[in-house]
Amino acid sequence: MTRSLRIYREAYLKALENKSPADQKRITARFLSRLVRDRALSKIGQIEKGIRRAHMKNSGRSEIAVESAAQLDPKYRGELERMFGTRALIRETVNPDLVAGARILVDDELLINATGKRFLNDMFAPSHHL
Amino acid sequence: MTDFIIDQLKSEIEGFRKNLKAEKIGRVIEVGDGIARIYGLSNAASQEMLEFETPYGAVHGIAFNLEEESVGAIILGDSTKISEGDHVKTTGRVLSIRVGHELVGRVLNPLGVAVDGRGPVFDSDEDAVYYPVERTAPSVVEREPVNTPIHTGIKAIDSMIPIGRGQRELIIGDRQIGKTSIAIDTIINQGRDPQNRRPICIYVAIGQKESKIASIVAELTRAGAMEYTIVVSAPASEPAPLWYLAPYAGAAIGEYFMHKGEDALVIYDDLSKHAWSYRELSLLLRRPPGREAYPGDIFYLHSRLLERAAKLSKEKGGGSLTALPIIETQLGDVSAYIPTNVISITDGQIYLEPELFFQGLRPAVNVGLSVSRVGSSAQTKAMKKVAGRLRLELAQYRELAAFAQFASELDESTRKRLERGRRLSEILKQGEREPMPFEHQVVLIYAGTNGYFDTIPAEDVESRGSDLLDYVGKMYDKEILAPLRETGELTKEIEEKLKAILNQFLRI
Repeated sequence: MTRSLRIYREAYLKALENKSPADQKRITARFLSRLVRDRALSKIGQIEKGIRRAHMKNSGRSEIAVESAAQLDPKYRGELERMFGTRALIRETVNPDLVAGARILVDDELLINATGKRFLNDMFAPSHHL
Repeated sequence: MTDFIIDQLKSEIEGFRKNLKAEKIGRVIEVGDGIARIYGLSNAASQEMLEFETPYGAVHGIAFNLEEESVGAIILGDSTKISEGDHVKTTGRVLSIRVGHELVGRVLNPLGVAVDGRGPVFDSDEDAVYYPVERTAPSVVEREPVNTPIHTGIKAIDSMIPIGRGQRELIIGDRQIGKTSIAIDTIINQGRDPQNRRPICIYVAIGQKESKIASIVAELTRAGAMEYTIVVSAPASEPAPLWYLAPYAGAAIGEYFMHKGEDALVIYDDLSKHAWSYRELSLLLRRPPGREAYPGDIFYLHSRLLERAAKLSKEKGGGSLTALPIIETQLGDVSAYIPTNVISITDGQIYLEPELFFQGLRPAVNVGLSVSRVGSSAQTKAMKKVAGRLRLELAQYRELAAFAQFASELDESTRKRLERGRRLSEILKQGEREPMPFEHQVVLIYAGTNGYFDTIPAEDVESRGSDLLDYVGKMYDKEILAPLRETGELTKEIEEKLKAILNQFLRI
């Protein structure tokens, strides 16, 4: 029987608490075989993402993905660190498709989109209500 | 001109920072078969429009299933553009369709985009009016009882199963038995009404072959009916989400005219396929299946749609939206899940029977199983007067005809009843695309129910009937037909004149 992602995630994280690395390995193996039995192995990617997110949250850290049209100026990087704190895990990528500016994704949930691409899309968006 | 564009761009660019805001987003975790599953979007509302950001531009969808950690959405555009990991954001809007008088005469898809190859529907974006595809039905205080007839031009229907403006009358029957024909004839017949009373007709084609939709549009155009008709087309080649949306889009267009104080007639052809599309979407979204694998809210799917048909009170403008849903039965089984649901929602049904159809009685309306629960109060006085006995006489005829098969000798009164019934059945026969004006129907049915055809052989009744109408039309239009048309009443004076004409014409 397939359970919700949250149940799998929480059960796995709880089982790992205060366990030695060897035990953690055994628990992970058992967890994977459980997923196979439940025919839920296809959800492993989402479970892993959820676990990573929960782990970051529990440790008080946040994950910041910065995508910019050109290499980010070190001055702006420092500004980002000040804004999100030193415990933030900042990952940078360059995507010339963005035309100009950058977009910042916080914890895979909150998007601050300050790119030229978005600006152009908004300007030329069709006026109908779709 | 160039300076103006540059100035506009400048001002847009200057204002860019002001628009900057943080948005909650989700990510596509699964996509296929016209649906997507999205992780995140905890702030999404049910039925809210979603925007999928793809490398090829934005694709839109509707939030359908709000689950613990994900959102199930139906995709309204090209789902092949969406891939796993794409960002999705909420829009804070429900799906709306642009409405206006410009829609009349056009063929649209359920999103309001013209598909007839005649270019965009609207010339400019000024004064654009958008109607939500889903809307709550008018409340009790906003309505008034059905009191105006909508003539279908079909004798069997206008005389025995009258339909009023604001009513919901189901057309039900097996495949290839004339359900769509009744709907198309009804649309064509609306052209007889004076322009100020003529309803705007909306024909919603759900899951039909494109060739069939094209032939319907061609027939309506040929009959001049596209001047007051809008076709909403969700053909078989479109994905299930568009089939699902089509009737709601049709209802939204109808509501626009209703709210303007006009009358509208919307035909949903057909709701069986609409139910299939909803079943498909629900199963793909893994909603628990119920009877015949339909989801639990299949009744609400149709009731919320058909409840939007209404006759508004005078304070609300007095407009109306009449709905003629069509349901296709399998082997005449009216007790299946969807037919019983829609029968219980509507204000009556026109049941078409295969046996009658193959006997040559067309339209194959089964008078016994067909009913109009509110239409009689909207029926014109003249028709009420002449057709009062028709239903009873036909019912008695059918019953006696069944018994007469076994009896060798019949008494005089039974024989007479059978003869009268045969002739009345002949009178009610009517060809496709030959809707008859209401005043002609009154003359024919008056002659039939009062025994003027009794002396004529049954097989000649149809031709003698049309001769009679030709004669009355040419010689007595001012005395008989015009007053009937204008007042809707069969006064003593008209009746006397009619009797004299019938005596003179049919008894020679």
